[in-house]
Amino acid sequence: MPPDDILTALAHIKNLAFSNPAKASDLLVGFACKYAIDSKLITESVLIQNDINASLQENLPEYSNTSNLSEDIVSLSIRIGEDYIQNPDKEKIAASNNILLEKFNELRPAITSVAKVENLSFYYSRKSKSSFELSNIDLDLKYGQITGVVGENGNGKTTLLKIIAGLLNQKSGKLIYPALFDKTSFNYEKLKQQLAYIPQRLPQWNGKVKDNLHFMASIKGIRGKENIREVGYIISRLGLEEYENCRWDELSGGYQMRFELANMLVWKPKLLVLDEPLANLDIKSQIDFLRTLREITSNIRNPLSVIISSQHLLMIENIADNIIFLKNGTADFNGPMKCVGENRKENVYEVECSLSIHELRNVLQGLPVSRIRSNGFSYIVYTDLNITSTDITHKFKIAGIQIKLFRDISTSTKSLFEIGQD
Amino acid sequence: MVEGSNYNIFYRRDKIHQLIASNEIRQATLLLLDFARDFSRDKNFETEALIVCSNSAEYEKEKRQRIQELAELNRLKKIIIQTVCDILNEIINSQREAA
Repeated sequence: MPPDDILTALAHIKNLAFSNPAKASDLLVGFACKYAIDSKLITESVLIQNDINASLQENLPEYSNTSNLSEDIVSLSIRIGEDYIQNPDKEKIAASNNILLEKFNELRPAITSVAKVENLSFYYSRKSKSSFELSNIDLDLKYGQITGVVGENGNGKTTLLKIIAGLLNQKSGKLIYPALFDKTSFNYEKLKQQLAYIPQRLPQWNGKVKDNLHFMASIKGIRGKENIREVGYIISRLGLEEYENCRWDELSGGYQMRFELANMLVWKPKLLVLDEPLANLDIKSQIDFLRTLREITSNIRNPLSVIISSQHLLMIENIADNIIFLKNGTADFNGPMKCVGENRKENVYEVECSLSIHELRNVLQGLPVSRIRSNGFSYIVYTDLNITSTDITHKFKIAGIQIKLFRDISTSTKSLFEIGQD
Repeated sequence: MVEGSNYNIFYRRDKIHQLIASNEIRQATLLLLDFARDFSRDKNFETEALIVCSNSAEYEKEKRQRIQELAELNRLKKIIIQTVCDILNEIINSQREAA
């Protein structure tokens, strides 16, 4: 007698196969991954799922008939069920799956803090007219995590990154690299072997992309077959295949940055410090760059920690685990991304519309709005905590006003910026 | 979908399946490359992943430039998906055997 959970899953897939093939194909892949003993059945299920989603996405006549695919879903789910029930090895496989989970879990590094900053302070000169001072900064940069450094210009982002990269010395406070050295063995040369720093202004280089990568890997001690393998990997991983024979001036700004990242990652540093890497990238290149960065940081064989500064708050917030918002040299917010706005006293919304500030006030009349700021392009609306985005957009709908942009920034560091005037 | 972290081999496989489901073939092959490096010491898998990665780059280029007919593009896509799934399955099975 087949187990009840298989029968329930089969019935569910069958029910949905014709009414909602996309959902049914999702369930089918999950079902195959859980129960298929013959791994070819998993491949078949993934192909069906892709066919169905492609047909929905592309809406082309070639894809118009999904009823055959629905039949495929039903027949494949039955085959998977039969395969599982009849196979004598299923318990063995379940046991080995559990062993695999434990085995790879053991790859977690014993020490996860790559760099730790405690109560750090820095100033350029007490005598200079500039009173800039970085003070009371705490940070814990861990393997597998990305820390975003945001804030207005001149608030200490680059200074902080340079200190972490060992290019400036802090005036007081502690900076240690627990995963890289013990307390007594620190030296700058050793740090440079494990820390990669990409400055705001990228250096120009000579020769071809590929040759530079081979050279960089080689001077960092990666030689022979390993050198070829690592360069091959990084070229593919960063999508530089088409550009491997290009020179500096043949690359766009986006690919120059991509090359720089490849040039650092090819020698597998433990800590990557990136100062405003998005500054000269178009929106697509920014998304591609950050996505790659997020994925590479999450790899487990070569654990990496990343600290990145940027003015592109919303972009950085999408990939950062932790965020530090610098204001006048101190941390206005410093913690996990999910905690931004946790203790806020107001909700904050960004609205772009064709209204004047007075007209906007009239539209929002009746809502507990404490203030509205304008930066010339959009308005920042501060409301009581119980006011939701629906309440605001509803007011616009009633007034028949079109909104060009609406964003809830209550849990974004953008809400911490003093944008515009009341 | 398997819950878990990047250290969970099945979670990582499911992430690749999800990308294939949403027709992000190129991205799926890039994650396959990381998968092969993270979960296998056998360099052959990495080489196979590199090849499929390069094929997916070519596929994306042809798709973008509309060099090929739709049917031919679909055929190429299916081959890439099949290869990705085969490599995933082979890595998992080889690890199961080792366990």
